[in-house]
Amino acid sequence: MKLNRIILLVFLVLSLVGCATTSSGPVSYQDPGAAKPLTTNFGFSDLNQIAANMVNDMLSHPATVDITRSRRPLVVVGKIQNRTDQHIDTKSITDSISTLVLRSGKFRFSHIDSRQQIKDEIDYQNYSGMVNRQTATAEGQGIGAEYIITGKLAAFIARTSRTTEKSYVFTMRLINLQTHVIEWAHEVPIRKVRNRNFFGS
Amino acid sequence: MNIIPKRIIWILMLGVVFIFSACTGQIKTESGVINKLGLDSGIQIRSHFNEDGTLKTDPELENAMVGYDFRITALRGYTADNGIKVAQVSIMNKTSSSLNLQYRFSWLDANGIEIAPGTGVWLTKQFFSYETKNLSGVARSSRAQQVIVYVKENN
Repeated sequence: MKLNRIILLVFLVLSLVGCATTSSGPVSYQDPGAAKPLTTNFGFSDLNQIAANMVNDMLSHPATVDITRSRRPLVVVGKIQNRTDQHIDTKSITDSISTLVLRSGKFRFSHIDSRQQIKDEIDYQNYSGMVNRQTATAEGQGIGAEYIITGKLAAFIARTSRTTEKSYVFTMRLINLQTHVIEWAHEVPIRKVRNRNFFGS
Repeated sequence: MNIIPKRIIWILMLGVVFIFSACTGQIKTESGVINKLGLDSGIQIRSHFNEDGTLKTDPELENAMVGYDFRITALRGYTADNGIKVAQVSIMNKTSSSLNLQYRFSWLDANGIEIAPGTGVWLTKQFFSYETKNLSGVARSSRAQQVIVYVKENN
């Protein structure tokens, strides 16, 4: 009889422990600008760090200051190569950077991803017969970009039995489309280290 | 009857004053305001650019750093030819061990309204013993007239 009670008690304790570890805790909003990395993988706070550093340099470097002194050059953002072992949405990085730079009022951007939608809309206005021709947007009035932004994200990994070190280097270049000259380039390194606990992982 | 010698009491009192000097407080300066937010929240320096577009280190800054493990030795700035303002803060690790700091720049227009609120991010920097580093912030608009620099330990 006593043994049954003990077994029942142990079962109850174990089930409660199980509840505590498997149930999800309360959810709260956090500052999106906070720098709190949770893993060595590339994450949102890394994106923020890269974007902030890149924008700082792009707006204040003598070469870019020179071309934005009295006008707002038109820039198109090209492909960013992902040379890491992770699936990283590199477009998110360039979107974040181009949004911040655009809001500074020093550069203008042409959006590659919207081109087909813009063309479809202009075609609709001009050829569907549904839009008053006098109000339709004329074809061939777009402005050609002067500069293209290219870049790459590379990762370097080093592991020991206790430590994992992941370094990321994000490189960006601003190239003059007419002359092919690299007018500006910058790289932002990020180094993340994770030390394993003595117990567990 | 005196169990604790007077000298020890004085040292203890000085220690208490030293600890509390890193606590909250506000110092008004020629170019702005220094807010001491405590050991966890760090320090906030608000400073406005001069008419010539520069920002000079406030002499009060050194006194404000008592009690922290780091010292901000300078806050200077200039206006680039494209109208963008740049601020640079020099920070020294006062300890013999490594120190991780977080910093953030925030920018205000002439009316004191924050430019692009919510877009500022905390950046981290590691300082080796007694190392000094210069950290820069760039305004997100040529409307910026004032800068606020936040520095705190990365806990």
